Amino acid sequence: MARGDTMVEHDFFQIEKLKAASFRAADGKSAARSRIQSVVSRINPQLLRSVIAPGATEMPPEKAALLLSSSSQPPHPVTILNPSIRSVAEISNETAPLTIFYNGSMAVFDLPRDKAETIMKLVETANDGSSSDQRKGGIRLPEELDGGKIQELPPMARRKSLQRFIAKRKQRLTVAGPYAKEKAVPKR
Amino acid sequence: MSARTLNRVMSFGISDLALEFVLGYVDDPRDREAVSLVCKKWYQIDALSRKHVTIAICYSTSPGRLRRRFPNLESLQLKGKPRAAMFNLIPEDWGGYVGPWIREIAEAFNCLKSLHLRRMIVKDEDIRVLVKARGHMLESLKLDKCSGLSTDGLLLVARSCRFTGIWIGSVGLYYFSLVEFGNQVFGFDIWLIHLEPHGPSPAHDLFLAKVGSDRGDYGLDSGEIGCLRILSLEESSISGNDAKWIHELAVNNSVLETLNFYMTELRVAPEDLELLAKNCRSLVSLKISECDISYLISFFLIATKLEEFGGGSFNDQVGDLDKYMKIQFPPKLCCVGLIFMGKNEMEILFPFAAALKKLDLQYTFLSTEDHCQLIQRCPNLEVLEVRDVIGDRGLEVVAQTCKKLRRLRIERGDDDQGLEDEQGCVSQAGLSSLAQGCLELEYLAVYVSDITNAALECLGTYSKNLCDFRLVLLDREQRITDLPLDNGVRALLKGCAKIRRFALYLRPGGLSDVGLGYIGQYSNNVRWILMGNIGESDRGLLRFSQGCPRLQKLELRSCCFTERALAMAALRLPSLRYLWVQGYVASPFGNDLLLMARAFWNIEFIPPKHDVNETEDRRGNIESQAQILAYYSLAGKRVDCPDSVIPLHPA
Repeated sequence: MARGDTMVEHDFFQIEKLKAASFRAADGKSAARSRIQSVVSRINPQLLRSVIAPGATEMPPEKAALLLSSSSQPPHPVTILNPSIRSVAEISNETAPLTIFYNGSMAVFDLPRDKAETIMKLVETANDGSSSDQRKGGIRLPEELDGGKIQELPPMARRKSLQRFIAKRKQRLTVAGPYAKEKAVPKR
Repeated sequence: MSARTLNRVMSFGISDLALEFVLGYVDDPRDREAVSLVCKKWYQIDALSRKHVTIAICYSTSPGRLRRRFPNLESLQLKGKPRAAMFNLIPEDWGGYVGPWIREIAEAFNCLKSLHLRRMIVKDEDIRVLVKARGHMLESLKLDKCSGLSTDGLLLVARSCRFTGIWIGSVGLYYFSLVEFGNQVFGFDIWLIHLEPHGPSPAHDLFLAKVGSDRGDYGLDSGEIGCLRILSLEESSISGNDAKWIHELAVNNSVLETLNFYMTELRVAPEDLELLAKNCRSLVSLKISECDISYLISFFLIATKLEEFGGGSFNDQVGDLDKYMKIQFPPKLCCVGLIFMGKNEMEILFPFAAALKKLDLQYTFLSTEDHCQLIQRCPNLEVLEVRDVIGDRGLEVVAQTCKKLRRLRIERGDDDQGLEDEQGCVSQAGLSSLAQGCLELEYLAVYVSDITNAALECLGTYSKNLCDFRLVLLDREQRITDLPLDNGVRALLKGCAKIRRFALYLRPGGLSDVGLGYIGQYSNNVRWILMGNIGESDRGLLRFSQGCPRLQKLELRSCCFTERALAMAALRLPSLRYLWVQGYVASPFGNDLLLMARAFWNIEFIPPKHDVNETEDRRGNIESQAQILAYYSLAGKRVDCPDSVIPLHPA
């Protein structure tokens, strides 16, 4: 004790150690989890709780920290409908813990993969479309959360001719610069 | 009456000759089909006198079979790749090779004057064979969304037009002298007869007679003989950078009426277009690739008969808009579609906007307001194609102004909202106005951002002439005002009894199983249906398949149906002859698909590609989902499948 004025911090519950482990794990394992962490911090917690309410459990930090290391394989972001994956998901419907750090508190929710991904999507759109939020007055819940099953839908395909036109237009606008929308410099 | 025998040999007292004459007036393919089913004699007469055949999928029959049944065909349309190819969903090497057909045409179809190939692979060699055998007779060649050829092939077509000619009736007015003889090109002898009227003869007075071994076959008869009047290459992928073929076409052809290479990357020189206009005095329709419109000032002055012009482009430099204002369009021009046209340039259309019948604004840079400004000057518009930047406001203007509108296509604009006008989305408001304002509407294809049942009901109430209806619900808005659309769809189908083509692409929750059942129940006349993200379960599909008595072609995308349900539906739909599915619930070993295996029913499977980059690139590589293609075929299993296509049945 009498070592001068050095302050020693004891990590009795090994929170720091586990936190460090989780950050390391996040880099290697789960792009999804680190994405959630960085993005969730900006979401309105009330909204998030109301969305996940049915499956929500709140736990004291220590237990949550212990749970971090024992969670199963994180959801792999499948963006394209693969029939074989879907049929498996329908059969097993496994849930995994989703841990969210927000504003100094931690919450763990037991969610199936699809709900977890919806939340990720929700958060991302809330983040990206913040201007559109103001116009529409708040985040709209995706249709799928109202009791329906979430499906990873194939992206809507676009006609080739229009695809080419849109690409060319982008090119022209890039060439001209952001302030000359109508007057594109001809490329010869 | 009891002794009366149905003596079909005598065809109810009508002689064969009379029957042939009568059938000569019967053109509709459905009528012809009915005729051919009466008895063998009628079948034979129909077969020998059938002028046109459309083959919806080229693998449903073989060239030999076509020739054996319809040897005297004058016009043939062949389609290759599934429709989804237009959306980049079909591998390029899927198939649709025209080679075997061209060889048969070259050998046996001696009356063929018109060939239309759609979504097929056409190689230069195929063109060479075609032109060699039929170049002297070909009046119309359309390569529509084809691929595989180069400008060398086009050069062959252009050169074949050297053999153009018109027989004239009254020889006395003209004298002719033999200019060339025995010009052996393409393997047959030709006489080039140069005819001079009372004055000097311009290039287009060059006449030709084709002779085979019997010179007497061809008398001096009035009429055209085999010369290219229509050449269309719209949206085809053609390699090669030279524009020689246009020059050759301009030099060799004098009767061209339609030239179309819209939406291609072909290079074009304005001088060649001017030459074309000079030589082809009947040029009525020209659609080109990108070429600055200001270079076409002379062309427009020469092509006085032009009624339709598409393509071109605007590349205005800063402060140099005057050059576009100098353009004087031909007096009869009524169909226009200019690429990259912006707000400032659209004024060049104002002087004749009131005469416009067709307007294509899909590839322009106009805002919602610009659309309003332009369209309000076009009261005679019959065909309009736009992107959804037209917005509800623009549709209001259409509804008020374009009372003669028959066809309206509203395509999907850029998803990047920064580039499209903020007001640029179409919703139930625009659709309702449109329905009430444009009562002549026959074709409506629209990408909407929002929709209600009421809007569809409105269409059902007012759009009584609707034959073709396609609605796609974009995924821009998270919440849609009024889903599911069950009642609206029912009202639409009930009200628009003439609908033969129907497409509905929504999102989960957009249409319930009940709604899907309605489609089945009220689609009495529908021949083609495309559905995406509709229904809730197999039950919906099975209910659907209990109806649709005339459904011939079904395309399903991104639906929740199992293989089993798909197979059951395919078996149950009485008229189904073509099925395409992408995105479904697969059975563990793909067995369920074979539940629909039966004679003459080809089943092909395109497995999903397992690309490493798949998950990262959300936009690209949509092809990676499994697809099922099934169709009736008399030709048996395909023999030209690439590795990506697996024929499941026949095994």
